[in-house]
Amino acid sequence: MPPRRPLRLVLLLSTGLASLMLQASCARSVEDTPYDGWRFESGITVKNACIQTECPAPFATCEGTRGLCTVDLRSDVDHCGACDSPCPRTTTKTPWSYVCSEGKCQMACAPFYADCNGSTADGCETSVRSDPANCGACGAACSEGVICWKGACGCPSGFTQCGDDCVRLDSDNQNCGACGSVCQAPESDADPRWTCGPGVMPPRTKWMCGDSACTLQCRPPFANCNKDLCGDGCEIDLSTDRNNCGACGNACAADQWCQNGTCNCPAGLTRCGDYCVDIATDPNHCGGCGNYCVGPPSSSGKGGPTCQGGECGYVCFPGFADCDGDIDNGCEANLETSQRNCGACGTQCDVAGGQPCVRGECLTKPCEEPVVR
Amino acid sequence: MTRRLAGAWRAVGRALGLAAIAAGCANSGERASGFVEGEPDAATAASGQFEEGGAPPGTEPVECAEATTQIYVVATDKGLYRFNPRDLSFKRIGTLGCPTGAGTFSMAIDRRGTAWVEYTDGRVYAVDTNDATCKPTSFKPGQTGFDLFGMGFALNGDDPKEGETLYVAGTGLASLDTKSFDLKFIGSLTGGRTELTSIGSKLFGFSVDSGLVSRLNKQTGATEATHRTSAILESGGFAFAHWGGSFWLFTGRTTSTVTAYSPTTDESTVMVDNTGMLIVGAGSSTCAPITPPK
Repeated sequence: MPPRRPLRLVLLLSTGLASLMLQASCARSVEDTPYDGWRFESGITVKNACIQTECPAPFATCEGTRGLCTVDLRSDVDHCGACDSPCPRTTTKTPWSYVCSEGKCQMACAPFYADCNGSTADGCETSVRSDPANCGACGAACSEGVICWKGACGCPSGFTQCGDDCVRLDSDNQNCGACGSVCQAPESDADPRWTCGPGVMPPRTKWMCGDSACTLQCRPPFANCNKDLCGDGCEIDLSTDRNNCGACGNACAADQWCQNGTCNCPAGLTRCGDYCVDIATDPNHCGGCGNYCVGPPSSSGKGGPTCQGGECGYVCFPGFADCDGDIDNGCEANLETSQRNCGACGTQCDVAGGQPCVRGECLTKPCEEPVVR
Repeated sequence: MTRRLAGAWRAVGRALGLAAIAAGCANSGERASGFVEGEPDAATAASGQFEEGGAPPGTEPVECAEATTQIYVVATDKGLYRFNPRDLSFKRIGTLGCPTGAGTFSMAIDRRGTAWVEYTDGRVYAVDTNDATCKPTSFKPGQTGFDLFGMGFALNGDDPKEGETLYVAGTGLASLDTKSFDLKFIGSLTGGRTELTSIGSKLFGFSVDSGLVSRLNKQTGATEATHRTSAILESGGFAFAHWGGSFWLFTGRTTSTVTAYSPTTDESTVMVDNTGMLIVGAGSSTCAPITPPK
């Protein structure tokens, strides 16, 4: 045994030194986080907080879920109010679904449907989109002869009722100027609307309804900017022409291009392919086109790449941290629930003792009897 | 270039991981949501933790500063704009610097000038309307029925001192606590895709599929009154705000049209035919004027 003393001494010293270093570095941790329960009181060290393993409401540990106390019974549709208490399942064909809110399953109707009979057995059984007796809401009846259109009685201003539909007579090709009046090429060659001669359709023109009249017009997005309709037809593509962008004569600046009828890019943005981006802030084009910032995307739910001043970065969302320093897995630690990184990287709960981490704190409770060290 | 960046960031990430572990003890007493990145130095910028969205207690901006009385919009180009209904001008404040490659989806403005912006990845971010800086929140995305939703604040009572509540419209109406980020289901909505706004304590929804603006019961989600607008669009982007006694409707497929609807006269008027951008979120705080400007 004597020969082992030096090693033992070294071990004790290094352990003690490490302990001192740990205590020094973790001084705030011991004071601020009572999860281990030890406190210095009146010259002695007393343990007055012990491990708590029961989950505090509304959290629970449910079978089949990962971790301890990770299920929020207030909002989990599979464990709504209690473990293994799922909300009723619905299909995409049923016009209703269930959400779990405050620990209760609640029925939510799909758009334009309502539960008018108050029975959950048949869900949201009534369509309120076009029912004159329930127009937009249960019992909201339209006047006699008035249609229910998109959840409201009658037609909006600017629309006219044609059968069960509301249309714009000024622009609807199927109801141009009057219900059922389809806009199409005149049958008679003598029709004066053949402005370029009987049967002549200049390039990029079509019969369209405008101002409630069916006339030969430029097919969008083309325009007749040179006023020679019967010659070269509608010669300008307003969606892409830099000299006629969005409108005849609207020229883009020298460093801009015309995209969907708009001169791009606006000042301060850079063209990257078909997009205008801010290379100072865009994580996909950070500092220059195509320079994407690495790291798991925000859809990971834990963190996301950033671009600040053209420099890439990566930030963790609140409650998450990059404890292993590996950017490839991003902010892998859930500080709210991780027993090994509870509230902060490296803050461990008593894993063997089954001490859960809830809301970033290792659960404790008062000891039945204080333990003195 | 991308490869080089990836390698460099991986190395920085590893180094920071050690730093994070060493700092673990020092921070162990802090709650997870309280981590503060502080000034974005090189280290934290590379792999930091954002301060949670919303101003920290004690440093909150005052309510109803001048800037909170206007309309803000976000477009698919991730630009945050201030829209002045008086002269119909848009002023670009900046590009949202949220840590995501997802697109913008919806927005609401609170009385202290924070824009709560939902992205297409379902996350909600807190954006400063002064400079478009962005912070993630601890809102849990993907909650059943509320993957994506419209948003709007309404006062809790006639007296602004009673506070305000953020309402969201997904599969039904719900309230969203901007401190705990708990979602509380209220009831079904009868309209289609819905955006929200308010006039004082009255909550309104705009369903672009039907062009209906509906006054909603804040306790049940039920429709209490409807207004018929001509802003109807069966697909595309839309947004909704109130200002000066009128509802401002932003609708479009590639670029947005701005329509003002007056509930007093029941008239819809196209104010801006082509904004040159596709607006997907709009918001006016409960500080915005509720009567027409004189």
